[in-house]
Amino acid sequence: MDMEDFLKELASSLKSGFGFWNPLLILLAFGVALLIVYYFWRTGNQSYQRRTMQTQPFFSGNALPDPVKGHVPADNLFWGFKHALRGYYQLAERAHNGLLNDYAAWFVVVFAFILIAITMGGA
Amino acid sequence: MMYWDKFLTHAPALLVAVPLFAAFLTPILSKFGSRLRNGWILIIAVVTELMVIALTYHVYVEGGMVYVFGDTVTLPSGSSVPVRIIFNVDAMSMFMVFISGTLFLLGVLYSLSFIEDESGKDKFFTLMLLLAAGMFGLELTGDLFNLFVFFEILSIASAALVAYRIDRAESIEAGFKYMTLSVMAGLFLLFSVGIFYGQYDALNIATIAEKIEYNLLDKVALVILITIFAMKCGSVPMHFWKPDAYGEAPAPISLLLIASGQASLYALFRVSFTLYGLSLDTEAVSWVIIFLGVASMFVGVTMALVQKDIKRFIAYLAISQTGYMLMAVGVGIASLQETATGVQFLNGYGYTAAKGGIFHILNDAITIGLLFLVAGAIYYRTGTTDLNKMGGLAHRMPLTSAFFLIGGLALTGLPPFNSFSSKLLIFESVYNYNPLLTIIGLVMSILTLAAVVKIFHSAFLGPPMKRFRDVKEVPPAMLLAMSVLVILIIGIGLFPNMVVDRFVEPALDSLVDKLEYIRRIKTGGA
Repeated sequence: MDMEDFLKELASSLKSGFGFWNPLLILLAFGVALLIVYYFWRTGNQSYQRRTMQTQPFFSGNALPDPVKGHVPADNLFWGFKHALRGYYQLAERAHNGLLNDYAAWFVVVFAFILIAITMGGA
Repeated sequence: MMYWDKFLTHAPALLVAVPLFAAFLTPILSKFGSRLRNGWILIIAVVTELMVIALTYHVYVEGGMVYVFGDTVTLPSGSSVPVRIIFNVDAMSMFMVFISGTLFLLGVLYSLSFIEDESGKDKFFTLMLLLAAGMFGLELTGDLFNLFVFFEILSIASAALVAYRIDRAESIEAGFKYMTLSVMAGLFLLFSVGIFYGQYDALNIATIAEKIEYNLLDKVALVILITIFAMKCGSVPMHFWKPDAYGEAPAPISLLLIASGQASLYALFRVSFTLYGLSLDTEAVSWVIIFLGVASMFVGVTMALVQKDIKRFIAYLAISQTGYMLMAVGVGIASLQETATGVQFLNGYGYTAAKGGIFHILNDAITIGLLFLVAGAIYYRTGTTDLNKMGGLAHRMPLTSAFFLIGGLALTGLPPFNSFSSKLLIFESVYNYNPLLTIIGLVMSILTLAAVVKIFHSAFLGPPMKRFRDVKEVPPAMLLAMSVLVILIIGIGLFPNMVVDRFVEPALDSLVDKLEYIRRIKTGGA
């Protein structure tokens, strides 16, 4: 295989049988989009000044709280999602009890389930 | 040239023999100093990877080969009996060996710095080499009894490595759980081997595949094999050991456990396509595997979202990713057909789905592997895996943060990273089989993104914390191991077609073509 063929193959599209995907084209489009964004940014207000009050977040006129205290820890993230699915999570956490006996029991349950599914099959 | 040909001829045996031999020599060399031992381990890992690359290239260019240990023995009665073990070296097995070999090399490279200050390093590296030998053997063997033997080697080495930090009760508990379940799985595997031997008087996969009748006993053996390999790859609801083991094992061992999980997945696919093939009830078996896949996708990602330990978090994401592969290959099994001459093939969407599934094995190993190495880097510098105690690490570890972001976004399937291509193949083709499966897969991918955002926010974003003021980037060897995975993620993401056309499709073709497998073994690879 010569270099030309290799480069052609390198740039070719991945065909799924229903469409295609070429990341190089997407990157090209992304680059063009970046240029457009840059153009708009360049036409923005030139009076903007770094390291002044303009760059501070507005907190209703109050002093900003200590940012370290404002960091949301992992436990509190997605609490709404967990609350909405609390029924499921109660069940799931009960199943994930860490008991080896239960791990083995699940193995037997799955074995029985697959045995029924496959022996009941027609072939 | 003559030596090169000889090397290639014996490379399959060397792939198992070199790490096995090195494993036994490592404790002795350790007596002469840690530098000698580290150099020895690194050389062995590099040599093994070079052998893997050479053999993979040879198999992909020249076609599959068979390596035979043993010979034909003539009995006093005059009859001759073949006493031999066969390694089947085809594109699919080398695809898996390549993944295992690469992760093994990166695991060794990372470990040299990661466990520098810990004790028992000679045992650590010895077990690591045994684990690699077990993986290679499992992926290369063409014999069911040896499958059991390598399965056991893999399990024992993995369990001991999971319990490496013996000062932590949780590690020992995780190792014990892993060992118990592995022994249980091993005994069941041996039982299924007995079923085949009792019926067909053979242990060779090709011989059994040729004779298999799919009677009740064969069905029982199939159920056993599906159950144990599904458990070993961490499929729901037999996944409980995985967060325990992955969470407690040192990060480079978690990387190797991923490779061993993929090896089990490979064994499951080899049994389904090669050992049974069209003799099995494709509809029932495919739905069983699809069901396990969908359950894994859902439970894995939803359980990940509520974790606070970064390694358990990633372990649940790994469970979820296993689901995509099971679902895709399950759809592939459903579309299995044969020509008038008895050659097995997959129809249009089934072929694409299975191709996506096999491709995702590679992508998943790289992305989840990278995430575990990043988690290890965080632990190495901060001494914690608790996400609640982390924050602002991007200020101190900018490279590690960037690696996590790339790995995390790749895992969710965002373009232009590697997993996007495999997920695209899976989703578009599975839609033709059952649209609901694609919808579930897409929703799970969105939840995966939410999970990745949670880790990234908790660990890396936010203001710099006082308790981490001395934290800095990890040593160069660890950064190098992570960088290689990042390069692979971006490289495969940008040029997926190269990998699919040259690497994945030949692997899938060799997996599906049962007749060719039997012919190659019967003719000794001619």
